[in-house]
Amino acid sequence: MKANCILGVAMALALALIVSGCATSQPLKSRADLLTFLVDGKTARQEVFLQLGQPSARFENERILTYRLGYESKNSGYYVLEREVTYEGWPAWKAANFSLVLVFDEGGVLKRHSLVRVN
Amino acid sequence: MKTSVEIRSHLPRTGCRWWSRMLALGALSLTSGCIVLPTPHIDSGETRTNICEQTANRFAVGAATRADVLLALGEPDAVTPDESRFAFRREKIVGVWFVGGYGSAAGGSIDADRYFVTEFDAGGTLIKATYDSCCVGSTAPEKLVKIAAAEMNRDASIRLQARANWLAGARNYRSPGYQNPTWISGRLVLTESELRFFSRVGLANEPALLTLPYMNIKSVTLERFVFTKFLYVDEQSGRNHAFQIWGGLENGHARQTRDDAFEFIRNKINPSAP
Repeated sequence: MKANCILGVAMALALALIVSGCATSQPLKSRADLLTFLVDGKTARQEVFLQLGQPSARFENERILTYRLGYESKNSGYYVLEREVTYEGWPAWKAANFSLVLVFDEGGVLKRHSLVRVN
Repeated sequence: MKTSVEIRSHLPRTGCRWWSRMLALGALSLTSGCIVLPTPHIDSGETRTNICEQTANRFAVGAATRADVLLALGEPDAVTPDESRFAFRREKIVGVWFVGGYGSAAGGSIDADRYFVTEFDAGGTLIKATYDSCCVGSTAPEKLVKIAAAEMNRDASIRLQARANWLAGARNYRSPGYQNPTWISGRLVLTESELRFFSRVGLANEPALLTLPYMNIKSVTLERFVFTKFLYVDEQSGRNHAFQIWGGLENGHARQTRDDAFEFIRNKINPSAP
């Protein structure tokens, strides 16, 4: 009787551990303040590279840069994603919901920027 | 300068080969246990959704710039090397198919692409904006924006462009320099003076991953490995490269393109060879 009781408690504990493992949430990879450093007329291109890393595309001799961003609603945060392509060669926008577009002036200072909802 | 805004949603379209796909669908539906059902057009979830037939009206032809288009729509899905043409792609599910019989079944979606293509002049001003829809299937990005032609316009010394895979630093998985995985899919370009390779992951306006002057090439051979032939390029420095050529960038049989590439490089490094 006592052994059955101990066995029952042990099984209940094991089940609780398993269930708690399933309930554990994935760590967030986004930051809500990722883009707050972007200020038109002030932010330098080098600062963008330091904060966001290498862009996914460049245009007009790096006068225009684009970044692919994912979004996590839990903390309303963004994170940078690398460019992915499908077998046919077209880029995939499954994970990346936003495209950040940065336009710089001749001096490398941010002139205009926009966060475009792609899907 | 002629400028225009076009919205095209009619058929046929040579780049789409809609008739061959419709023929296949029709033949498939006639086989036993096969069902093809059209569905309301919904987004596949794999591509952008921020383009439609009204997108062209957002931009003033003759006034809008590349920056205006990018700030409004985001990063394009295909670009020509000279950035004269941008393409944005949206994929829709237009139907589903099912095949069943003898205890097994299979099925899938039938997809169709919509493209918004913009064209700019040398100064970066918009001269044309076109919304195009393909009934079924997809057009390869290099064909849609005509990457090969744009590259030829930019560099008159180009003699061959091919779709290829590149294995850097080794001949195959048995070679001492092989590191898994290193095969890179992309575009092989042969000019009068050098060999270049561009990655397919990046847009076409990005610099080449490999630039190899012919004077640095010691030998080039065409050898069979397993089921196909590879183009092996050995540098004077001892570094090796292997290329698996899939075909010409716009057309061309894989074998013919591979043989042409081999002959061209061989003549460049050893003009006196027979």
